[in-house]
Amino acid sequence: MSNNLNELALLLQKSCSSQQWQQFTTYQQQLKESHYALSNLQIILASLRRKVGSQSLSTSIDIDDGTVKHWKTDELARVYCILTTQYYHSHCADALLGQLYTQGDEYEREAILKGLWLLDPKGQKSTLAIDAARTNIVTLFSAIGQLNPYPARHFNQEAFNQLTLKTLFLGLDINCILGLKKRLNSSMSRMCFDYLRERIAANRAIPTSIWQAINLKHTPVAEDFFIQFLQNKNPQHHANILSSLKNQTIPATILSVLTKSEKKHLQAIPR
Amino acid sequence: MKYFEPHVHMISRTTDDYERMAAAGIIGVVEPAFWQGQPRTSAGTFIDYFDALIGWERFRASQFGIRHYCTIGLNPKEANNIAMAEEVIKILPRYLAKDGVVAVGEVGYDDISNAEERFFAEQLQLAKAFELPVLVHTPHRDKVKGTERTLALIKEIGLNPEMVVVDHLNEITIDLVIDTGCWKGHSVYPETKMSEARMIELLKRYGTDKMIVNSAADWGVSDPLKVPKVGQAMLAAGYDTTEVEKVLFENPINFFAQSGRIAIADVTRPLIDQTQLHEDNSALRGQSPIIEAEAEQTS
Repeated sequence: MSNNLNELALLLQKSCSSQQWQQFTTYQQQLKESHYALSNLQIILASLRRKVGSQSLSTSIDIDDGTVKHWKTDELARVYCILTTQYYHSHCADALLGQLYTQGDEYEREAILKGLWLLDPKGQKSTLAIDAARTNIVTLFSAIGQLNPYPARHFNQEAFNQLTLKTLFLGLDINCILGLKKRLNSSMSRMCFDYLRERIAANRAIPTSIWQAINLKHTPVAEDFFIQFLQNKNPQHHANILSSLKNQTIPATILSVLTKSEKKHLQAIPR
Repeated sequence: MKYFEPHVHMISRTTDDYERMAAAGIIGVVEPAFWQGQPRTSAGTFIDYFDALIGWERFRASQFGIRHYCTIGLNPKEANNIAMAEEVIKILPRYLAKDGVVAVGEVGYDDISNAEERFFAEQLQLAKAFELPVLVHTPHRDKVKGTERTLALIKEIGLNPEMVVVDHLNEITIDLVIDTGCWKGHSVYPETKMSEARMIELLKRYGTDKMIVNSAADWGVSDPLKVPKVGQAMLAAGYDTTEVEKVLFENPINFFAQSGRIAIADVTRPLIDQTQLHEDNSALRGQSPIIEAEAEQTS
């Protein structure tokens, strides 16, 4: 853990001005030296956006099989402060996350969700995260649902499938759900196929990433739609279908509409 | 003309009000925490109320092109329930640290009781600790005495008067405040408190420095368009647009800017996107959502 803390601190330092970093280190000293008090930590967390800014990180780091990337400085600083508190005051760690999440504002909540894979590596707060994924606030939903290893590691199948469907429903890209390919299952494939049919019936735009969650092994009735969207030449649909097929056994009907180079690229095996 | 409304209780107002305020040129508001017309019976209801001020109400304002800030405090009327007030004081710090909270308030005297003085003083200390300005309510009854004690307490606590706006002033009480260094707040009401014409007279007599005007509109008979109406009255009285914007836009923002959490450059008209939801909730009821692009922005 202390190695992780050092790496995260270095990343934050690189991304902050010297004045912002100085303010942050003052807070760190307070958290290390003071007796644990939730109220002190809450005041520090609430102030961090103003103290360390909300700029993009200067680079990214890989840590605990995940990547700290696309975060803002205030989010990293908040996650770091909670990690520090968990580290120095381990007796309070269990109740901490729930209280901070419930009493945080929208930015504090987003930071906790983005860093949940680091803050809760054993998945003990999966109920909180699953509930958070029910939100319709796009930024909050994205914090748990996009580029976050936590759902694939700790969500049960039903919750992971709902997260995937909701990602499509909110107009977001399911390519940004980490671990989607590993977690793809027959229920998810059926749910997303039903959603595809509904959108077509209502003559509404089709999310271009939806193909990533439909597997023809589980949902063979989707074959005609694969062919139809391969032929309509929308480049985004086309690319997503090809990417989805890469992990599938491809039916002959679909092979017949692929170009030679596409087949080669897919190393297609006829069914 | 752009306006800033520095004291309005939007949680008690309708979406019609937001629409009319935006159409009249109001692009930012400060909503002070206050009482709700009947006494609350537990500290828990304060938590939900404060959460609404930094959450749902901020979102609701954004849906109509208005930036929303708030002040957090225990209002004087409810300071007399001592057991509850003690609990509320304990939860204030975590709210005072939040973004968008630009002052402690509204605090002050109502009945001018000992309990009110105790919690008023404790909240002035909190303002010092959090380096926040203070919005002070002056009482409806015994206003002169309430204003005098307010100014004495500010001095006793050692609060920089520049960090204080003394609100709901009138022709009598403004004289008490004028040389103290405090900012001067005036609530223009349909009948009581202050009218547009009386406000113009005060501006003529005392000038425009540190003068602040608000509607204090709430759940009672009040008018959230009073700030733009004072603007029209100022123009009619011969003030130019620069002076109108100084009093009705720049002054209030500069006062709250002492918090470090708002600045004149921040208070621009936000783009409206009514497809957005907050906690699964929309301010719409089946209407077609308005989605503005940059070019459609009206000011």
